[in-house]
Amino acid sequence: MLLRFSEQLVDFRKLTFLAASSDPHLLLDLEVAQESFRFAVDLIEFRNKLLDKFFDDPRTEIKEFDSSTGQVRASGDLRIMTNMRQANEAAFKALCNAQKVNKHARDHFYAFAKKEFPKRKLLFVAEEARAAQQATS
Amino acid sequence: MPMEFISSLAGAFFGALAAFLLEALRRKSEEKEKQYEVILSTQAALLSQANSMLSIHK
Repeated sequence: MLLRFSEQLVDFRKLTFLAASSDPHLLLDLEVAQESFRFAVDLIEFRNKLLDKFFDDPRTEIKEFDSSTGQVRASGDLRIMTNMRQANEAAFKALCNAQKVNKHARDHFYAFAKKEFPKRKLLFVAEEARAAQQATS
Repeated sequence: MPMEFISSLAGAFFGALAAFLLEALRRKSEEKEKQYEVILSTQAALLSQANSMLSIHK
């Protein structure tokens, strides 16, 4: 699976003013969101390495391959397959959690920013826009 | 003579006070502007991370 993750990171050195603001807890939410994202990315990269290891293994036998979906049915070393299954599950859970935490941090941060800068424009993806984007893709 | 002295002293004092207040106001507005920039860049980073995850999760 070829993937490229966002390299944009929250710069906590510039966010120190939040500690003295009306909502210092926001710093913690941002930290948790960023770390959850990093953790999910690390797990997905690890899972991809395991997948490469599995296909490079001489004992791996590809039984079916669907080029349109990329789905593969294969047999091979049980140890690698078990590790791969565990990594898959962990990566999926980490991704779901990171998405949930990211949404919470974004909503919390938006509410804070709106309160601090009521007349300024802010970045926000409305639920409707997000749902419409998902429906069209 | 003392009256002139007092008025010039008061003038100098209020002039300095006005300059100080204006400078404080300018610094505060500059600081607020920097905070606004940081808020936008933080929002952009969070949205970009969310977008990355959305593209994997499909």
